Amino acid sequence: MTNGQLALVYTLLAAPLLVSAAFDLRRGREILWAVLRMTVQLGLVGLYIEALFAVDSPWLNAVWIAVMITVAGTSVLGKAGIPRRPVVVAAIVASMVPGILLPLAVLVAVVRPEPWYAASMVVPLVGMVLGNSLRGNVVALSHFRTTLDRERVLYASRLMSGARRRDALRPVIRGALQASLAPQLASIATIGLVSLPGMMTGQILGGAPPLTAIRYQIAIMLTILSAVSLAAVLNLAVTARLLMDDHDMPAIE
Amino acid sequence: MRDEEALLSVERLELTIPTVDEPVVVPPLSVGAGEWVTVTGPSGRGKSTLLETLAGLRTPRPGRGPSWTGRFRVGDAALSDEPEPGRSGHGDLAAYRRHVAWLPQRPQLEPGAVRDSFTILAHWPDSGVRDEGAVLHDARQILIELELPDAVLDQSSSTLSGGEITRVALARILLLKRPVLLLDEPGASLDTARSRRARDAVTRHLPGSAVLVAAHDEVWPIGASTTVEVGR
Repeated sequence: MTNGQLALVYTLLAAPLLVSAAFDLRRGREILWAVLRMTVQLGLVGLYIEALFAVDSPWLNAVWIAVMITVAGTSVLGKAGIPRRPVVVAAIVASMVPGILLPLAVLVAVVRPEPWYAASMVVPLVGMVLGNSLRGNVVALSHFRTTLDRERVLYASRLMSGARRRDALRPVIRGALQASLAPQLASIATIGLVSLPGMMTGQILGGAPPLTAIRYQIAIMLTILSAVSLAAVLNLAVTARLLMDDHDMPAIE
Repeated sequence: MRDEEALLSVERLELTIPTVDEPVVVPPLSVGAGEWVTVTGPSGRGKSTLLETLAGLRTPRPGRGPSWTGRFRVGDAALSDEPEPGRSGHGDLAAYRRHVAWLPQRPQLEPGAVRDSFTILAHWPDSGVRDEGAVLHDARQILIELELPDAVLDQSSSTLSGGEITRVALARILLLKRPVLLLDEPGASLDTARSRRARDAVTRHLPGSAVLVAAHDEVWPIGASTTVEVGR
């Protein structure tokens, strides 16, 4: 696609602008601003990734992944409403481990690019898996937290009726894991029918054979699913330990 | 009564509650077998916090929530804000909690069928319950005394009224057969007749337990040997 062709696509903006004007939504300025931001951000990222691919240094790739983790991690914990610092760090670390190790393992063992740390493979793959497992962690953490808030008395009653902390937390953790896996399973089950994943569509539009694009997509979905489940378990284990006081009660009032 | 014979004794206890201006000083207290002690005081002034502290559910460490200083014990298990000699932490919580049952002001039941709140006891190490069938059998007996029909066991716990939830929670506490009972406003959602039946069930099933009950109705304080005022 040339820049001229891309410019033509921008005429589609007329639709949301007309809707905004017709129904007096007063969102015209916001629409233009959002599209401008998107254009600038993607442009800059494109330049950056191009440079990253050209240099192709394992250390630079590691730095880029670290930036992704930090930005995503801080937004995760903000959204889950868990302010405590040690928890923040622990949760980020916990969700990092499977989100990095699993895609790297798939690369090294299955895809085998040359060199193994090839930025054009590592960055998008790790980024995608990491993004999804962090999103799974937000769901797991906020579910865990709101359940403990709402069911504080139930949890305490378990402790007073013969349950150790592990027994009393088990139903809470089970609920949080189910909540974090549900959207992943739903998207896997309907993939190709309801939704065409963005990465696969992009690959096909970019000229890759559809069957190749689909193979990569399946590999990614499987990696994401396993990363999300492992990350959520690790995250909850660490959070549960850090959130509880020395009398087994949640230290959030 | 001599202090050594008490099932529950408070040597000294001071609660610090963020929403209450002054520290709440709890007078020294000892409750023996079969004895009832009433806790009174204005609402929001620390009655529930006192019961939760005595249940071992509150850390002495200052934090966002209430904290405490002092020392109290149930049976031979003590909790203290100072580390006990030869022990790490504030005492052995699991051993402490094995002596105590707690009825919260607004109890919550296990999600699912009401029976789950009873059968799950068989899966917890310190409940003293080993067999699902036996615990259900005993639960039925007590529920009948509390005017809850058999069918309630198959009902979803989310469909129960506040008064029904309180009675199911009370039945579970009686099944645990703990020597110390901490009851937080047990009559709040029961009418006088049902309150009286519930109180009778406690004395009938656990005549040898020491009971500390927060209440300001006329049913539950009957026969109490002492009244403790909190937060005035």
